[in-house]
Amino acid sequence: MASCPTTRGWWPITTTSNSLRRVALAGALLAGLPAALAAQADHRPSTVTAFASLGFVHNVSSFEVPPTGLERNGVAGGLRVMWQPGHLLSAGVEVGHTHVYSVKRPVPGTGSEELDQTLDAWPILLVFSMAPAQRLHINVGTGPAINTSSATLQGTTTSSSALGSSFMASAVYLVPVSSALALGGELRYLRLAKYEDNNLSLQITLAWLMSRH
Amino acid sequence: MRPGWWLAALAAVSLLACDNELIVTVPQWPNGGNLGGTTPLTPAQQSSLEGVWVVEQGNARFGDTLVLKWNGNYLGVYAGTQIAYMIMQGGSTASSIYLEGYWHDANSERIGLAQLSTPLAGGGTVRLSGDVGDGEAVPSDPLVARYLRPIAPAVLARPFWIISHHGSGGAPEMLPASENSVEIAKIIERYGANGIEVDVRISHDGVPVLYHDNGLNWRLTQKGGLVGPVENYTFAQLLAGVRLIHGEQIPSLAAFLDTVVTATTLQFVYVDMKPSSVNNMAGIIAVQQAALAKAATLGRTVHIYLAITTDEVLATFLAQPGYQNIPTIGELGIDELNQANSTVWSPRFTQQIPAADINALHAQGKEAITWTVNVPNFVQQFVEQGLLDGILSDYPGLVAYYYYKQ
Repeated sequence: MASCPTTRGWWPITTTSNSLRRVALAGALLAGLPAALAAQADHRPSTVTAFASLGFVHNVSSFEVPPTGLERNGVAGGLRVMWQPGHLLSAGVEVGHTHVYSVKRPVPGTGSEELDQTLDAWPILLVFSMAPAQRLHINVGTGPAINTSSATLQGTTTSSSALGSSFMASAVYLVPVSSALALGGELRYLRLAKYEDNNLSLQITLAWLMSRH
Repeated sequence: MRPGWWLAALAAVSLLACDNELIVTVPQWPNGGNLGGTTPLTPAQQSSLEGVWVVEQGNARFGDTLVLKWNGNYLGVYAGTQIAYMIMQGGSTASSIYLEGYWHDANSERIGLAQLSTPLAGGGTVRLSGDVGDGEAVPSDPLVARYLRPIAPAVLARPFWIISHHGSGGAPEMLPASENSVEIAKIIERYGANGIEVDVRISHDGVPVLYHDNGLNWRLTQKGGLVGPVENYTFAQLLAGVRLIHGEQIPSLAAFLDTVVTATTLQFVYVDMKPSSVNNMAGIIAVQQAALAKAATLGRTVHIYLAITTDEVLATFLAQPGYQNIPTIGELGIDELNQANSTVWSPRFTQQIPAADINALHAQGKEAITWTVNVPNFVQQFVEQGLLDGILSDYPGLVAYYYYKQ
């Protein structure tokens, strides 16, 4: 990988052993306090980076009575824009879409007729991120999620939605491919609290350094 | 990053991912129980058990007094303490009356098998003795009760509505059928109710259906993919796509009332009209009238009331042709009650319910009930005041206990 462009200039690398920073970081990660960003002492270049992800998602929730025709697998993706004021901790916003699960239920008394029902979610997250090792990023986020279900029966589709909260944690490993682009993989967990759903996904992530000051 | 951080993060995720569901399962006697070898009880044997009993052993679980009352072939044993009850069936052998079933602390998941017996030979003090247990374990905790007296004839003679909230109360997971279901109507009398309250909404295609909450959720339904208000879905989609927590379908109001009329002896139905009722109130009224007509045909006495719950519901109701003759319950004030010509006034129990107002209603041949009373002291207080004609509660057995104990 010697020919790869260096990422040290804009890619956060954790080297500190300063315990106060860790306390501040823990506060930000666990309590979501953006103020902790100000606790960072170093003054490296500030960057704004966009991450686009797409991949496979699997619902790992427990179903007390799993419905007939349950499909837990699907597609998830999202767009995240992160501001990195310096070292260690960055903050940003993510919007995404994830398949939660779908169900094909036989309609009683109709023979082969089925009701297709799908639950999707659109989380809108406030995300905090840090890089505990080079190229590795740990993200946690929380925010509202729009849970949308659709039901199709006899060619007629009905949709409905409900707002809930969500929590996300992910690990991204990125390999730089140019001075402004990096490509990698992301393993993420998404909790959709309102309907008690837990998703694990494996996604391909493209990172684009949008600006650097 | 220290390993501790990872462990903490994993712990946090695990906590967030924790699904906490509790559904009580009624314990079953092994091999179908012991009633198979008994003879069905005669009406005289049944009535000999009805009454007030003094608990001599087992007080920690059931308090000092039990009220026993038959509901069909099921004997309800109601205790004030812990809002506990037993649901028993009986048979006789050559020497004794044998009762078998289960007990449940209605406030918790404590539930278990129960068996009692009393000698057939008459004379002297009559005692029921046996055991109760935990879960499906063989009962081993002794319970002994001494017969004190029958239920007072004046109490039995007076109509008093013990109305089960949402069909099965605010803790639907504590009963073996879901709230607002056809199935709960079939069994709720065993738990002490002689009336039932249900909630009606209008599906996307105009069908009056039963469901309480504003949206589909896992408190009331099995996790299954449909979210949002039931009003967003057609009845066919709800039938196919939603299962209530005990596996039943969301019923239409028509199916529910038909069951009440044809398969129960319930005498009072309180149809709480939720806001979307205004989308097809004529449809709700038509279903109500059809059920009342069917009950009349069958010679059944059943009061089916539509509850006027909000000003908007009242305004829509007043726009219905012939509304004055439609049986309704008024949850608003006395003025609104008179406007709609409602037969029953049903204020919330925390409201002021002046005795003068109730007496005035009684003078007009109307009734007054209150909702939703779950605290034993309040139930006792309302029952002993003797003013109200009924109580809506999540614990019909609790109301039965205090009412029949008088």
